[in-house]
Amino acid sequence: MTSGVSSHQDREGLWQLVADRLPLLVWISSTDKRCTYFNKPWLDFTGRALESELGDGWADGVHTADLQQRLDTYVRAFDHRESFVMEYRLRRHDGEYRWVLDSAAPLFDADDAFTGYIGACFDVTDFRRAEAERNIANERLRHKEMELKEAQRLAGVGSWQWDPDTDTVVWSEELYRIAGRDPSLPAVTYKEHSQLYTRESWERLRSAVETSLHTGAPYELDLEMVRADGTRPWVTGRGEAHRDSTGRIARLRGTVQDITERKHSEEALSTVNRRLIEAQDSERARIARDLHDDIGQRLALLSLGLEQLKRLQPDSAGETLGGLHALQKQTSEIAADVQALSHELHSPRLLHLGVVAAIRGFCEELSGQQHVGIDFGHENVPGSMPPEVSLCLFRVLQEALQNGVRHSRVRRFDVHLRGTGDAVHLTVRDEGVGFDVAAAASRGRGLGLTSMRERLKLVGGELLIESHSKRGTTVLARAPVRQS
Amino acid sequence: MNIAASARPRVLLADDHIHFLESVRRLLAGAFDIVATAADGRQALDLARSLRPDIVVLDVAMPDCNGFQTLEQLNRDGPETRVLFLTMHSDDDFVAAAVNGGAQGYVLKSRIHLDLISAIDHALAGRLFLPSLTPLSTVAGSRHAVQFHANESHFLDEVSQLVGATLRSGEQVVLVTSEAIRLGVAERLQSRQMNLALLAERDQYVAMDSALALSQVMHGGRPDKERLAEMIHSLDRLRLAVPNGPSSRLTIYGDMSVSLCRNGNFEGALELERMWNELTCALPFFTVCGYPIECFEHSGARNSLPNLCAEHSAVSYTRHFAQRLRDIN
Repeated sequence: MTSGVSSHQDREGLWQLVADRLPLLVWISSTDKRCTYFNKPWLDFTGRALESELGDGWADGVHTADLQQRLDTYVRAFDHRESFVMEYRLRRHDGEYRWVLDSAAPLFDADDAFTGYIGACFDVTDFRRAEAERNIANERLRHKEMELKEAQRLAGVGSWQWDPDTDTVVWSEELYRIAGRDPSLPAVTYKEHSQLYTRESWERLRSAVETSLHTGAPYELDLEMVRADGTRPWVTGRGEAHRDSTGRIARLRGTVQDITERKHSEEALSTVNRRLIEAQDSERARIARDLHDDIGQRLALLSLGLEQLKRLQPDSAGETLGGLHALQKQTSEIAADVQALSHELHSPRLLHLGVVAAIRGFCEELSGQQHVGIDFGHENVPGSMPPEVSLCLFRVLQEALQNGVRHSRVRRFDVHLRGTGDAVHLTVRDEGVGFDVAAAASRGRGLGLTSMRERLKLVGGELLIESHSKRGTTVLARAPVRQS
Repeated sequence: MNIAASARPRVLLADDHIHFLESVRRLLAGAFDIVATAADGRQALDLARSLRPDIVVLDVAMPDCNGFQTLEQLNRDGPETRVLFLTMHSDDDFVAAAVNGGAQGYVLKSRIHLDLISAIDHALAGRLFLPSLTPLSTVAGSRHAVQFHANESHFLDEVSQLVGATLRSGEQVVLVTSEAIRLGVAERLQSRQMNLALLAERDQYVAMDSALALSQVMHGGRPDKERLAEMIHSLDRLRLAVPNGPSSRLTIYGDMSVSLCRNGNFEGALELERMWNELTCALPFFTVCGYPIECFEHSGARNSLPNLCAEHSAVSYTRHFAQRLRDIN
């Protein structure tokens, strides 16, 4: 027995030793639910003496808001001899309430007789805080992802990332939508990208991607996609290279923006512009013709009538003769004004003598009026071409030269007209101050540029403007002419 | 009556403006036999083929087949029919296109009452009649033109334009006038960005004094053929010796015979013009003579005018000249 007692005491001493070194707050209660033991960490935590905690004293340290629940849980478990786990706030020695996780179980002796409860508490305040923070962070991240997705959807912008070494491509959901593909399928590899675009667009994209891989230069291209359903959205594709720590280009990232609607409205605007130009041209031509062929001739007739009247007057009627003479003079002046107005509206040279004569004449007139030198040359220009083509070239020339005279700050211009079988090329060049073509297109001055572009579109041609600050401007217009 | 009518030149008129056509018909009815009128080019072609008129007076702007296209077809049908344009278009390019296309005359509708009858007469006599001679500087084949003007300022306008156009086309010009005209021309051309000094240095532009030139060719009150030949020879040497190769044509603008006319020596002036024709006919010379109207205002001088015109291949009146010419008559 002694050895038993002694060993019991040893066990007691060992328990004490262990219990006081556990990183847990341990309590023990007896069958009357009252606490009979608290280990040293508990007492250190609460900063209270054992005597104060014993019995129901410990309840003083439980947060009042948690106490009732703490007691209820304890009593219910106790009556059923069940273990329980709960969390509550316990006041620390510094007065701060800390969340503890209390895990308790009933105690039985060797004879299976119930002797009370043992519980161990663990300070989980830091865990709870970290978890709360993690939840918030997760929530934020989820929110951000939603926002990004929504933003991509609203803006019609999809994003992608490509690892060229493995040809691994990752697409955002919006990009799947733009490309008209099932988001549950893997993204299209770079190798398969040719099927996503028209041939022409794919050639441009491939060349830009290869350049970017090689030099790291970013790109931005307007491309025409081809969806499986046959529709063809227009997109702006942007991409840029990202380097790894060694400076090697490790992957390409970029966006694809759906600009179909913009393209459509641009096309619609362009159509309206062209109709306006056509309407304006035909109206100008009609007014010019009316002024010239009708009003002009009637004025000439009036003058002729006055002349005949003059001849019928007897010599004595000097005053009448003088009056008639003055009327005739006025008539001629009006006729000259009408003719000038008519020519301004529509060049009769263009109508009757062709585009070379009209351009030469315009260059000569402008050089006379503005005191500038204009060199005009031409080669292989077909003798006859559709009137809309010659009108287009003539108007583009007028616009380009007048822009040049107004803005270039030089007094010399070169104008050249060249036929190449299937097209006529007009070049207007100066060595003046130049301008920013893109900026001009978005400002008021762009109107002239727009109308030149639209005019050429009307006849299936194109306009190219090269301008560099202080290095002059070259306007190149190409209008196709069908071989007859 | 019938015989008299048929002896008059037969004219076909083509214009899409009915009222105009009627007025022209009335204007010409006294002097010509109007065989028909056409409202467009195609009709004019049909009528010209069936009626064979001496001259067709054509508008430029007509529906269906415009004046230039009609002229082209008329030439193909037969060169014996002469064509004169009567049009609203005063542009020199139109005049040049008409002359290049083989037209015999060009009258502006605004000057119809002043020019049309004379123009038809000149055209029938084989002389070009034009509102301005400037377009001839770009037309090959023109030889010896005369320009009548009412005053010095109109003369200056015409000379400056013609000289300017010729120099711009890269050809050589010899200007034989009084000093006042030479200075006036220089001033006008320089204001149009032409570097006359540089052109003179290259012998592309040569200025001479007309009184001095005249004194060199006159002998005993009459032009001397040998002296004129010497002058023409030196001009041709000038043409051949231009630094960048001989000029294909030498344009001479001058008023050398004017002082003869002013002194009443019309015979001398006529003889000079005749000799000039004879001596330059084989040379690529294009000569333009300028005459002021006052030379012909004396009653004794009027008969000289047709004779003088007869020595020229092309005629042009400045507006006021035509007016005063009518007043004289």
